Amino acid sequence: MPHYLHITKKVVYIILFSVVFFACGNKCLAADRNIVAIIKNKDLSYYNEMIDGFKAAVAARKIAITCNEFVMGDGDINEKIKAAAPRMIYALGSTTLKKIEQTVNNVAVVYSAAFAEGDDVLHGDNVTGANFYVSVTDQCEKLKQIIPGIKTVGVIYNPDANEKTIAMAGRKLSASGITLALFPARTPADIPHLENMSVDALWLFPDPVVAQQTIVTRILYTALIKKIPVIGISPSYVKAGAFMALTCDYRDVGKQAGEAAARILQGEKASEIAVTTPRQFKLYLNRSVADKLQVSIPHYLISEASEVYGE
Amino acid sequence: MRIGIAAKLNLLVICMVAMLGFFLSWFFIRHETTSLISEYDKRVEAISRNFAYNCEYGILVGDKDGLRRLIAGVKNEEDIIYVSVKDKSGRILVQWSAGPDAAGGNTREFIKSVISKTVRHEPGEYVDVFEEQPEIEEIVGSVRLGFTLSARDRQIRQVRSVVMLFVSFATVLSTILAYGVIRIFIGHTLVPLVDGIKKFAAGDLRHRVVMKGSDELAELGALFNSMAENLSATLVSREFVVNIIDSMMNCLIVVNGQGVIMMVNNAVCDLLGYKKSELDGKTADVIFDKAVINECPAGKKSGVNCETVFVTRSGKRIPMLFSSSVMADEKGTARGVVCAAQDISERKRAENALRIYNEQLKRSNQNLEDFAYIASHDLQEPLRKVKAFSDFIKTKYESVLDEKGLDYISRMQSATGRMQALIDSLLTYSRVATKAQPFALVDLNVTLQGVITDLEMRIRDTGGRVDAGQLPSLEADHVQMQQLFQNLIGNALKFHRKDVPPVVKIYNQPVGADEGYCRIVVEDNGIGFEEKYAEKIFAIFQRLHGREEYEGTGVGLAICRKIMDRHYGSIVARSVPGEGTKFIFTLPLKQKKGEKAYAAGDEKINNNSDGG
Repeated sequence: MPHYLHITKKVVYIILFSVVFFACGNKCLAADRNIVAIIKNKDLSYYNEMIDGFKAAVAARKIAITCNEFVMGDGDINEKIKAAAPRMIYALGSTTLKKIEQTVNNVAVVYSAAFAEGDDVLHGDNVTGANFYVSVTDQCEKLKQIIPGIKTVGVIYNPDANEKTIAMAGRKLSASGITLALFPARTPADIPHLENMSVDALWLFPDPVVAQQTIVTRILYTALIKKIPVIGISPSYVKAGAFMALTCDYRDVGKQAGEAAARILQGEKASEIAVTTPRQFKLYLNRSVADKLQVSIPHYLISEASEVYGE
Repeated sequence: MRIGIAAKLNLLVICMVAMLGFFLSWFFIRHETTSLISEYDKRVEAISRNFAYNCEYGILVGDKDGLRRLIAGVKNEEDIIYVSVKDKSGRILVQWSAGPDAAGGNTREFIKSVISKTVRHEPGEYVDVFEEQPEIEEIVGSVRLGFTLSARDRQIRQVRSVVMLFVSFATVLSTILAYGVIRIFIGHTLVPLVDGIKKFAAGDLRHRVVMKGSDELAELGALFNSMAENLSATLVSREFVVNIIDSMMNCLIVVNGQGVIMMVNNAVCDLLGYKKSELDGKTADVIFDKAVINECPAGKKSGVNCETVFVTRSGKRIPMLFSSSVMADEKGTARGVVCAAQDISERKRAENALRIYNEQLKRSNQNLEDFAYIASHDLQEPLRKVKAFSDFIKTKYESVLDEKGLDYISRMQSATGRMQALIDSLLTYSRVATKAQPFALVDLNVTLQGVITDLEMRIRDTGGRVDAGQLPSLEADHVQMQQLFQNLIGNALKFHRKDVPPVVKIYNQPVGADEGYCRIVVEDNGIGFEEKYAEKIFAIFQRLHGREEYEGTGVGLAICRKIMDRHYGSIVARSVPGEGTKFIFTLPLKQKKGEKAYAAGDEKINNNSDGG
C-alpha cells in the first residue's frame, strides 16, 4: 500500500472519530440540561410576567433549566419543539395549551391558562398547570365592598360562544345574592342600549362581540353617562373608564406553574399535581370614575389597590 | 454721466434688498400658505377621521340618533357644509347639508371608510382590547364630509397681504438704513481718501489722509499714507522743483517746438530785467537768437553748447555760455527745449585781458629775442675793435709799457675773450628760435654717432667712453638734436670726477602707455650736484662752479631746455653729488601744430620763458 494512502486512511479515521465524539457529547450534554420550551400564542405583557414567575420558582428549587421561547404562528411550532428536544413545555394561554396538548404526548406540559366558570380544567397524565381565571363572584364581591347596594349585574355576551360560562357565572352570583342580567348579542348591532338596561353594574366579559375597542369605549362612555359602574377585564380597561378590575397576580400564577414544573423535573408525575387557581389578586380602581359615579372608595381598598387611576 | 460709488452701492443695496424682499415674500407666502393648507388639511382630515371613527358604533348598532348627535357635533365646525353617513350597503343612514349657498367658493370633500376593528381571540382567553392589536378589520360603512375652503382661502389672502406689507416695509426700511449707512461710510472713508489722493496728485506731497475705523478702506488709507511717505522720500514736489529752479544762478529757459517761451527762472528775470509774466508766451527771439535752438536736433537729447548773446530789456547785450537740450516725453517725442545759460561777461573780460597780455608777452619775447640776437651780433663789432686795439697796444707798445701796464692789457684781453664767449653763447641761445630748421624725420642714432665722432678727441683726452643704446627716429630739428646731444655729452665729459674716466650712457627708456613720445636718458658718472639745483642749472648763465674750476658760460643747458621747448618736449635732471647725473628728455615722435609740451610724472612742464 502506498504510504500516502496509509496517511489518508488515518486522517479519515480521525475525522470520523471526532464526529462521533462530538455528536455523543452533545447528546450527553443535552440530556444533562433541563430544556424547557416556553410557548405562547402572543407576546403579551402578562404572559411575560408569568414567564418571569415561572423561571423564578424553578430557580428557587435550585433546578437548572434552559428556556427556549416560541410564539405560536411563528413558523411550524411542532418542528421547533422537536428540534429543541425539551424535557418540558410551558404553555401560556388556553389556545396554546389546546394545540400543544393535541400534538405533544411524550413531554410533560405545564400551563398557565384561564378556564372560566363551567369549563373543564385540563389535567392529564403529562399535563398540569395554573388556572388564572378570576371568578365573577370574586369581582362582584369586591365591587360590593365599595358599592354595597349592587343587586343586578349586567353582562353582554355571544350566546353561541359563552352560553355555558355565563350560565355558570349566573348561578354562582345568585348564590352571592346578585342577579346576573344577561344581554346576549351575536353582532355588535345586537348590543342593546345601556339606557334600556336595568342594571346596577356592568360586567365586561371577554366576548368576541364586545372585544372591539370602539364598542368598549362606547360602552364605557355611555356607562359613565348613565352612572353605571363597569367591572373591567384588565388595568387598561380601568384606565379607559371602567370603575374597577380585579385580576390575578400573573407573576404569582407563573410561580404556581413553575412550582409544578419543578416537581415534575424532580420526578413527580404531572397527573399527580393538581391544577392551581390564583392565590394572589390585584385590584385596580379609577377614582375619577368613582367621583363621577359619586361613589366613595374605602381607604383600605385604596391601600389594597395595586394602582388607582384618575388621582 | 458720472455715477458715484455711493449711488452704485445704493443701487446695489436696493437691488439686493429688493431681491431679498422678493425671495422672502415668496418664501414666507409659500411657507405660510403651505402651512395653512397643510394645517387645514390636517384639521379636516382629523375631523373626517374622528367622525368616521365615532360613526363605527352607530353604524354597527344602527343608532341613527347617535349618528345625528355626531353630525350635530361636527356642524359646529364653521367650514363644514354637508355630512352623510352610509352603511355597508351604501344606504344613507343620516345626512345633513348647509344649503347650496354655504360653499361660497372652492370646496373639498372627504370620504372615509368606517372600519370596525376586532381583537381576535379564542373563548376563555382574556382579551385586552386596549393593549392588543386588532386582528380583524371590516369596512362597515362610510362617511362623506364636505368642507368649504373660503375661510382657508381668506386666511391665505390675509397672510399674503401681511407678508407683502411686512416685507415691503422691511425693504423700504432696509433701503433707507443702507442709504444712511453708505452715506456715513462714504463720508468717513472714501471722501477723505479721494480728497487726499487729489491733493497729493496736485503736488501736495505732504498731505496725508486721516481714516476712521479699521476696515479695508482704512487699511487702504494707511497704505496710501505709507506710499505717499515713500514717494515723498523719493520724489520732489513741483513747488520744490520750482524753488530749486528759481534758486539757480544760471538762467533756465524752456521753450516749445515753435520757440515760444514756456518757462523761465528767476535768474533770467534778474539778469534781463523782465518779469516772468512778460516772457511767458513770447518767442525766444526776445531774449536771444532763436537760431541757436534750431541747431538743437529734434529727437536727440544732446543739444548745443555755444556762446551767444542775451539781450536785456534795456537793450544791453550780455555774453552767455548757452546750452540746450531736447526735452522728450517717454515716447521720445520732443516736448520742448531746455536752455541753460550762464553769464560769461566776467570771463570774457578776463579772456580779453589774457589775450592782450599774451600778445604783449609774445611781442615782448620776440623783442627780447631780437634784442639778444641784435645785441650779441652788434656787440661783437665794438668788442672785436677793443680786442684788436688791445692786441695792437700790446704788440706795438709792449716795450714801452711797464709790467703793470702789460698786466692791465692782459686782463683786458682776457675780459674781452670772456665777453666774446658770452656773446657767442648768447647768440647761439637766441639762434635756437631765430635760426631754427624745419622739423624733419631724424634718426637719433645717426645724430648721436655724429656727435660722438665730433667729441672723439675729448673722449680720448678724458679716457672716457660713450655707450649708446638704440634710439628712435622722430620728427625734429636735426641740428638742434645734434646740439642737444653735444651739450649733454660735453657736460658729462667736462664734469667728470678726478681719476674717474667719464662713462656716458645714452639709451631709450619706455614712456609707458603714452606711445606718441620717446624718452631718452643721458647718464654719466660725473661729480653730480645737489638735487635742489636741478632746476637752476637750466637757467641761462647759471653756473654751479667757478670759472677757475670748470670753463664755460652757463648757457649749454639753457639751450637744451629751449630746444626742448621748441620741440614741445621736456627735460629734467636727476643727480646725486659724487655719483653722477641723469638728464632725461622726452620728445614727441611726431610734431603737430599746436602740440603742447609733454608733462608726465614728476617732470616739470617747461615754461615758455627762458628762465632769465
